[in-house]
Amino acid sequence: MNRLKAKKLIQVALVEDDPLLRANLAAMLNSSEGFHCQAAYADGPAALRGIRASRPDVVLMDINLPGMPGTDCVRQLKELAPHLPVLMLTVYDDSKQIFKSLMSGATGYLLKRTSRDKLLEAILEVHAGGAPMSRQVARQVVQFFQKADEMPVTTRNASVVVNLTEREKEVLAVLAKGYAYKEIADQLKISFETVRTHLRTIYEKLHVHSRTEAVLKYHGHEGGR
Amino acid sequence: MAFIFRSILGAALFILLTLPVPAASPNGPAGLTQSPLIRSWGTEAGLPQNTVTANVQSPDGYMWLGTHDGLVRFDGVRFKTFGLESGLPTVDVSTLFVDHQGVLWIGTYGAGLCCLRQDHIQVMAELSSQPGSDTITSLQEDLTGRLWVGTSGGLRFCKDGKMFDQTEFTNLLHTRIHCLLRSRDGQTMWIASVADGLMAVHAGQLDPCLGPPGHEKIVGRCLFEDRQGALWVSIGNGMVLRREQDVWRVFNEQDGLPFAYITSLTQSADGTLWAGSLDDGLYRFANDHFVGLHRADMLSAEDIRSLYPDPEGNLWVGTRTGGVNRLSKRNVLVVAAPQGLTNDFTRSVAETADGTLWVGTVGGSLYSGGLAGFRPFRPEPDGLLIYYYAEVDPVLATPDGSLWWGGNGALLQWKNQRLAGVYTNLAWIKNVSVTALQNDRTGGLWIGTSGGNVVHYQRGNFTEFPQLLTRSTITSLAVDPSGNLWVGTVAAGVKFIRAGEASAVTVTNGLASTSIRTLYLDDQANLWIGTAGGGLSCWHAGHVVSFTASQGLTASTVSQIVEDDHGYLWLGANSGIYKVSKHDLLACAAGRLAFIPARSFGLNDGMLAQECSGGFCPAGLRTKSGLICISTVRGLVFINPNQRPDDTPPPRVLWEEMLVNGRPQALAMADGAADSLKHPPRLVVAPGNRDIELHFSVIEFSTPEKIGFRYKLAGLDRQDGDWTEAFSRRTAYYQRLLPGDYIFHVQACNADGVWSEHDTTLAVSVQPYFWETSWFHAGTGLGLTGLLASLLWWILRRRFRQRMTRLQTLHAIERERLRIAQDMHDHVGGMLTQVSQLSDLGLQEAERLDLVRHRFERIGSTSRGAVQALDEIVWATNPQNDNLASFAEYVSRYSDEFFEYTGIRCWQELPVQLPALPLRADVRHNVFLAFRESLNNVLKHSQCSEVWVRLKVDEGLVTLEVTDNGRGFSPDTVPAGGNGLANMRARLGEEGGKAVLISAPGKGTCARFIFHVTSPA
Repeated sequence: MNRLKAKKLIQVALVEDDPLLRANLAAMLNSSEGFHCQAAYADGPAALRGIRASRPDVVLMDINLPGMPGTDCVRQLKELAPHLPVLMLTVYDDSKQIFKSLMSGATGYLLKRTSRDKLLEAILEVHAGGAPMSRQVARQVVQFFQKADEMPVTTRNASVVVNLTEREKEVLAVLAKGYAYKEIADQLKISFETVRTHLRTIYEKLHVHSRTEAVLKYHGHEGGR
Repeated sequence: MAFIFRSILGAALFILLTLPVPAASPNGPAGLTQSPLIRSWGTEAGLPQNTVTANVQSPDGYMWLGTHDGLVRFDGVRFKTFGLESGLPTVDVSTLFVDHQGVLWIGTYGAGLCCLRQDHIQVMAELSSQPGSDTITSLQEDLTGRLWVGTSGGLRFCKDGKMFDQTEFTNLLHTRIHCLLRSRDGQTMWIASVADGLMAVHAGQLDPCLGPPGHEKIVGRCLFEDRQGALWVSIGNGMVLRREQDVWRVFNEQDGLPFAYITSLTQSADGTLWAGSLDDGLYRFANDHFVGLHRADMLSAEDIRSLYPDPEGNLWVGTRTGGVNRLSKRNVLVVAAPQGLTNDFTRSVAETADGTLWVGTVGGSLYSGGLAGFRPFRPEPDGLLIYYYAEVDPVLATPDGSLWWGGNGALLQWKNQRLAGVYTNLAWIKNVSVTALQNDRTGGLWIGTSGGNVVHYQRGNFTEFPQLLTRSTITSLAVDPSGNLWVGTVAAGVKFIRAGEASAVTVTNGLASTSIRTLYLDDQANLWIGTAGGGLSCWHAGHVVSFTASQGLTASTVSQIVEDDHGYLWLGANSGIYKVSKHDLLACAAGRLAFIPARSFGLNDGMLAQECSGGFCPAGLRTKSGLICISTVRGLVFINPNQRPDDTPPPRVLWEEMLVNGRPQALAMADGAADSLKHPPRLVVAPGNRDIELHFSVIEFSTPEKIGFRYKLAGLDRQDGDWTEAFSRRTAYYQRLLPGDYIFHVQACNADGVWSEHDTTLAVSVQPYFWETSWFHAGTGLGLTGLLASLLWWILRRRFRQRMTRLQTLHAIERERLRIAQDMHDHVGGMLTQVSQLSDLGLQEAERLDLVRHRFERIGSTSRGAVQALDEIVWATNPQNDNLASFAEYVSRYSDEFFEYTGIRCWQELPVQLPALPLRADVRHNVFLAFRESLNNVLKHSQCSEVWVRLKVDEGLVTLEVTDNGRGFSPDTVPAGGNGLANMRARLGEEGGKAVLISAPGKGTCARFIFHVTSPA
């Protein structure tokens, strides 16, 4: 991973409504070697305006923003810059919210209480094209695609529905059990890089899904449970 | 006979003071009896008992009545009784008096004196042992504020809450006092005693007062000083004395008095003197004569005990056996059977040039006359034609001096004192009756029939309109200045016939009912349409607007419309007569006014029936003298539209009673009542009590049932500008109010639709539970310790359980919990996160100082731990997690984090797809605590390198397993309760589950928890 750490600083944009948290995070980034907090925004619309011009490398975004929720902000951001990695920040491990933001296009999430080292590590990873995925998310992803699969054809927009490949399902299953990426690569006899590619693809498929009507129905179904 | 005549005349004059009396018909029989309007209330209306010994009004406006069954407060609509339970020493009230401070004094039979201050009854201690001194007969206050107390045992005094005797009046200490009276100037106190006759106390001097010859010793039963300063004394059966400027005059039966004691004397607001007799009715003094009112005049009883004139002009009459009567001015004049309208089912009314009124009736043919009376009109002595016009619907007087009327198969014309035309043989009239007549501007006459045809008459020729407009009855006809004809039909809406055209256009669009009762075309080309069932509508320039109850016009069937000179429409409806401003109606039609104030007249105003006749034309008449005349099913009603509206001020609203969850609650009155707008009284509602009922009232006695109310609760989650129209309802009701401060506004309007100038307001403060307050949310953020977390947990759970049993509404609890979870998440979590970040920053800046570093590390780890602990609480409290899937998710996440830096590898086998099974919060939490304990055991004791967390579901039975590859133990060697095993079992046992621990030395350990997901409850 160290070889990826170029001389160039990783430019990070922050979206966080709490001014103290925002200042702390910015200070933490700026005091860490190789990172620079390029801009810090208090809400979604400001971030959308600013990021369009400043083109950061990575975005850290609070999941609970006033006005425009973080999930919506991610969606619009991904339309502006489809390849910009966005990490969600959350105080509390709210799986529904997290999953929603991943579907909107986020490339991972971090608890705000995460230590500095882990935070920097995650930024590095997404910046390098990685797609960190916790095993809880892995399980949810499997579950989600299963449900989408089970939906009657009439309610889903067949042309847009993208299913997981067998290999992707395998990756997820092993990930959910607790294997590390390296171990997954070994077990499935694929390269480490391929594991990361699979995960990134899975995120993208999720994102695709979130734009289809079928997903909305799926959510409606969930909500009514 | 002369006496009867004078009394009738007197009563009529009393009523007609404001009515311009038209020239009475010379033929009309004299017999117009119009007594004052009397309304009575007895036990059936809420009075505890029918004897009203005293009545008086307190400064706040309430009428107070003394009865033999307690003290009664009356606001015009509702009675509230004060009895023994309110602190009265006896329920036998003899007299009432309000002093200059507004304190109500209550004299009783046999239990002394007491007073009412701020809703509390205070009994005055009696010092005297004199027999009879406990029975209070009369109360007066002198200029020094001393209360004079007349008793059956002598004169007593009361001041500053103490009873005492006054030594200078020793001879009055033992004599029965009948009555006390303070003169109007306050300088003299008149005392009517039994033993010593009438006396006057003036400048501290007690002097006897002698009467006229023959009545020297005056044993007065009651005393009264009129506004001219004359003193009136009732001295015996049929005897009243008057002293006017030292000249006495005796009134007796010759002057109209009955052979009965006069029990009370008073003067009403209009200056009329009234005398109530012991058992022979009420008498009005006018023109030096007493005129009686009896049961026949609607008085509830003739045994008068008390009289009280209120400032609104009403006279209150308390009786021995008939409760209380209110005498008020009659706003309407009714002419019915007693006035010669022997058939009083009246229809059309016409007025000929000489001022004679002509009335059609159902079955009684035509009557002629005026306000003074009517008599049947028989145009032909042999009565051969009576068959044709026994039922007369329309009567019309035309400018040429003709009177036209229609009947069954006949149209008749009376001109120059003879029958000028009898039309019975025409084809269009044979099998129908004439229902509508209307003259046009060219001397012609339009005729509508029950067969649906319209016929035009001009100079002796009848021309049928070629088109049959409807198969049923023509109810109304209206002609505009251009000669266009409007036709109202009983079922087919309004038809419009342009002058000279042979076809009709139908207007039904916008009409709430197509059954037309009457049409009225005003000078501004508005066609007012009275309908059956659909209220009033207005056609103007092709557009129709309808007015209904939601706009305040409660008349649903409008049969007659008359306009007065002041721009008011008088509507004859099934439910009475309504006076509405045309300006208001048009403003409402234009959307500028939401609510139309309407003044209604009905039985309470003296009408004999509220239903106005309808279905004929012309309907309703404005007489040449300017009176509005509406025909009803019981007589003709006349109203003077020029009558100056009573100068009743806009009503003021009083608070009566506040109920919180059905229980009465006291109001906290703000200091400085004068500024009640800025500092309204306050209703404080304790936490958890969310249903409130507010009772308010307006005290008004002339037309209490016409007081309208509207209210709003500002601060509630709805638009502040929205008034709720409550009409006559005097209660507002709010359910499940959320904590917060509200201002309740109420307004009232009087019978003329004048709203109160200022809102009457009440501050309502619904107090929150402590966890509903924002300081609580902020405060919890300060607690960083696990102790606080667990305390919180305990409190929240306990509160939840209490609420659960009390409310028994799962939904409400869930909402509450969701909100708490959210708040803790946002506030506490946020703050703790800041702490952890600050510690990271600190580490950076003080890298070289080991101690600082150590401390910062601890801050960081503690706060992270605290966030995690809170996370756990939030998870546990959040009702969204009350299901198995969430539980599995959390177990997974928790174990990940738990083993993250321990070097122990955590494997998980959890089903991807979990059934959507609900998991009760307490089960979920207890299983989780047991699970957490097992993880702790793994970490502390097992020395393992790997741990497996497995979860399986099998038909509602969930198995959660924690297996390690550590050193294991022998179950025999570990004492019970060690390793927290007992704890685990206890927790699981609570939920009907079980905990199993399998282990052997060197073989690892497996903790297995089994529980049900389908709640046994």
